[in-house]
Amino acid sequence: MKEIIILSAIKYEDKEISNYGDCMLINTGNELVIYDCGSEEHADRVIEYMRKNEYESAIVVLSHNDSDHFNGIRKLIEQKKVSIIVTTLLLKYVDDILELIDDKRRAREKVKEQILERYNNIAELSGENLRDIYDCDIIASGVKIIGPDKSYMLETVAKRLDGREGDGVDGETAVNATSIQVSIEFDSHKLLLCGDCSYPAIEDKVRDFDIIQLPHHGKSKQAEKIFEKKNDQIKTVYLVSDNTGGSNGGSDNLNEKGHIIHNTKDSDDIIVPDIVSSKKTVYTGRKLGY
Amino acid sequence: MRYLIQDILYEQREERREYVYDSMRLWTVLSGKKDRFVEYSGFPFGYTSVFFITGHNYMVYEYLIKNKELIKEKLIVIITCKKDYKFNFLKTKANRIFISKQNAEGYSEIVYGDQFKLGFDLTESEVIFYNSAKTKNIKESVVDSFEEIYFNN
Repeated sequence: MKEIIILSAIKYEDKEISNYGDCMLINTGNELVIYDCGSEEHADRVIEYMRKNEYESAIVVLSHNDSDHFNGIRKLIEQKKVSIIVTTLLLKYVDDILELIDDKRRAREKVKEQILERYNNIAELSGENLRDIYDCDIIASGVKIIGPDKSYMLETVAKRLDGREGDGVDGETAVNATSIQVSIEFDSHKLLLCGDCSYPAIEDKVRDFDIIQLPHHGKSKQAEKIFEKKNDQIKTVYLVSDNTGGSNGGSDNLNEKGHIIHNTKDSDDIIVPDIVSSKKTVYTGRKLGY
Repeated sequence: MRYLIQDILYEQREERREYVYDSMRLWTVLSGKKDRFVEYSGFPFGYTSVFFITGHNYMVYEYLIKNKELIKEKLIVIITCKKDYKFNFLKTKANRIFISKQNAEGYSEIVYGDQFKLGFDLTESEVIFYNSAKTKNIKESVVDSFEEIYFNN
């Protein structure tokens, strides 16, 4: 693995008010994977990175439908920088979803229509080289998709389309809750990227990772639960991709004291191997002895 | 609650007092200086029966030996390297004794406080305690964060 970069919007125009969204570059040395690309500004930087690193195309993983994860992908496609897009292709599961809704009044075509309407950004990708996440768990060397669990995904989507129980799932919107989770292994480290997912979607996994992207731009509600679950694992490094400006709060209420946290709101791009293998590790080398 | 720091850690006193407030929601007032230790008492006074002491092990040991009759708290938390020191003399039926996590050689290693946005370098147990106390009471957090020392009767 060569490097993993979480792009920061700290030098972009109007960063205080504009939401530039997420964008993570995973450079394995042989392949480039882009996990989300939330703005054209991020896309411009991705294109420049590809030029400098001599990549003609990249694999894109779109974690979920929201615009602040999607908006830069159009530009990457226009510039012919995308070899394949991996995301959740819900039209494949219309019959499963219909069965879960279990509403005799709803027709198959109606469910398809709802999917296209409510997952409109993904629908816009029709015609591109798309791959469903449940058809390709290994994306590149050391990079694989590990969630959400398929039944959780389908039940959540069914609930959203049904509408009788509202759109909230596990403290998040249905779209956010089912963000695609990616595991990246390099050296002796395991990194978890999880978009805007809900805590229950990753609860049983977090202790297996020593580097974790705090979901939903570092919103405190999910973060506090992850901190509590990993309380004794003090060396865990938490990454926050908060380029949201003043748009939705992001990590504004996140209490960072007591944890090792790197936040794009406060710093330039976060380069992952650097922050975990620098000379200044967690331990000082001193002891409370003689 | 009493919180004692060895004189060599005195320069950290304000950061440690902030740590106590953040983690235990207790203000601290200076209540004594004795045998090279500075003592802070938690306010409200008598809120919880916990005694913390931190410093180099030979100084901590000497202080405890000399002042054991004055340590009546139910939880005693010793933040130091255990190495070959034994704390049997402290044990009563009424108390439980804890020590900061030790490595295989019997040392309590210190981590960089600024990595955790805390103002002083501290032990792993103190980091765990800081976070644990946000959601649990002080006693539960001590049990979660420090190693209990058991004694053969």
